[in-house]
Formats: sequence, structure tokens, C-alpha cells
Amino acid sequence: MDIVIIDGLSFALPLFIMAIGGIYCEKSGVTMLAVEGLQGFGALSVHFVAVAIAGNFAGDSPAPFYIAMVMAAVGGSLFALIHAMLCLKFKANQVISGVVVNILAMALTAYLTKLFNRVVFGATSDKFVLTVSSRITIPGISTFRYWERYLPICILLNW
Amino acid sequence: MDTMVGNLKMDIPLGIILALLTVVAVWFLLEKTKLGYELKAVGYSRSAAKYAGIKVGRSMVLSMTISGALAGLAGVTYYLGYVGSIQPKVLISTGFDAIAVSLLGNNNPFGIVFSTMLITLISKGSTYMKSAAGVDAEIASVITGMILLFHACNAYIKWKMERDRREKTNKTKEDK
Repeated sequence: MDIVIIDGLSFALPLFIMAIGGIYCEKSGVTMLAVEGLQGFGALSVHFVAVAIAGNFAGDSPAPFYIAMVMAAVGGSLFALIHAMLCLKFKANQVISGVVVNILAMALTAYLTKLFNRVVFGATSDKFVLTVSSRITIPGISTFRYWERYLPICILLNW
Repeated sequence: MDTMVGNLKMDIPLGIILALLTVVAVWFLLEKTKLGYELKAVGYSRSAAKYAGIKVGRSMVLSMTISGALAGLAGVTYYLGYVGSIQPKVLISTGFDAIAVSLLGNNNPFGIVFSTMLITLISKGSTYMKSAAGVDAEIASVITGMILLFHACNAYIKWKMERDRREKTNKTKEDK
């Protein structure tokens, strides 16, 4: 049960964060179909930045991880500017623009990954491999008894 | 199935007959029947169609039914005519591309024939392009995305061309 909840949380979080982005768009009257593509582009910029700056820090330093995380948000928002430009400046339909930005983001992600691998690593691979960030124990929650741990989640879900 | 087209021997899938028939049928439905007129009216303005006495809910359900029927037909031509077998949970991702292709065809049944050919030629030709010219196969989908991106601004370009033309005619009038 512990494993299910913990793994479920770690897999649910990307969905959760994307859903928050979707809420922002829908509340402000923007139809955003390109969330998936933006997610891919954000992940791509994480890899770019992590690979570029990881050599400047100590081996077990968490700093590149946090910097890369910030740059992911920057990369995703820069790509979302294309959607904004198409909708506002070029008066495109938001649904059309969303689909198009999604297709372009996925294609660019695949292409840039391959290009980057070839230029930087000299390997013809279409995959980036980074190590998984380490799990951290939040003090306080971990000392709770079994049912107390799930109480905040239950409250959140009901709310 | 070695059909001669010009000097080339090629396999022509039977689905193409079905596709062309569908194009004509959809064009007929949209342009020549009362039902198609109602569907388009609801598409332009829901409230105006409602005040004109069109049953909005009925025509929305009908349009979804028609689109579902056509998607089912596409599945038949793909899985019975092209692959020959179906694996549950593994489906082709043409559904999302289909929206983009129909927009590239300017939402016109006959335009879709050409836009489908264009997009498919680019995406299927990417493997040949890779072996013949040494270009990455992924660049094909980037090109597709670029085409669609610039097509999305067609309303703006049309408006700008119209404005330029008007300014030019105004200037010639002033000169006279």
C-alpha cells in the first residue's frame, strides 16, 4: 500500500502540474491543446541545461538539478509564446494554433535531441539518459502513524 | 496488383475509391442538403441557429455521429487494407494529425485530398530522404509543423494583403 501511494504520487505529479497549467489557461479563456508538446519541450530544455552545466559543479551537488528545473519552466513558457503570438498577433484560431504548436513541439523535441546527441556526444541516439533525482524524506510527515500520512491527501481530495 | 500508372508499376489501395467517394458524399451533404446547411449554421453561430428554428442539440449530435462514422471507416481502410491485423491498445496517431490536415485543407472536402497527399508525402518520404540525402528523418515532421504553423496565420495574411491592395487603389485614386 505504501509503495502504491508513493509511486502513484510520483507518477501523478506531472499530470497534476500540467492540470494546473490547463486550469490557468481555461480560466483566462485560452484553449490550450499544446500542453503535451510544451511538456516535451520543457523536458528537452532540462536536458540541455543539465548536460551543459553539470560539469561545473561537484559530483553530488543538487544545484544543477534545481537550475535545470527552473530552466524547464523557462523553456516551456518560451515555446508557449509561439501559441500566444499565433493567437494574438496573427489572429489564428486557438484550437488550430494549439494543435499546430503541439505537433511542432513534438517534432522539434525529437529533432533537437538527435542533433544534440550527434553534435555533443557523437552518438546517433534519440534518447537522453539522466539519473533519477534522489528521493527525499520530508521531516514530520514520515514520523506519522500509518493513517495520519494519508489524512492530508484525503482532505485535499475531498476539498 | 501491378497497376500501371504512366511508366510506374504501383499498388493502388482500394481504399482510395472509398476515400474519394467519401469526399464527394461529405461535399454533397454539406453543400446540397438541408441537414448540411443546418450543421454549418450551428457551426457559425449557435444562438443565431437556435433563433432561426434549427434544433441545435440534434444537429450537434448528428455531426458527432457523422464524424464518428467517418473515423470508423478510416479505421477499416487502415487495418483491413494496409496492416491486415489489429493489436488492441496500439493505435495509429492519425487522429490528432487529422485535425491539422483538415485545417490545412481549409475545411473543404476537396481541399483535404491535396493536403492529405502533401502531409503523407512528407512524412512517408522522410525515410527515403534519409537514405538518399542523409538528412535526419525527424526534419520531416518539423517541416510539417512549419507548414501548419504558417497556415494557421492565413487569416492575418489574407487581411494584410487585402489592406495593402486597398491602400494601393486609394493611392491611385488620389493620384488621379
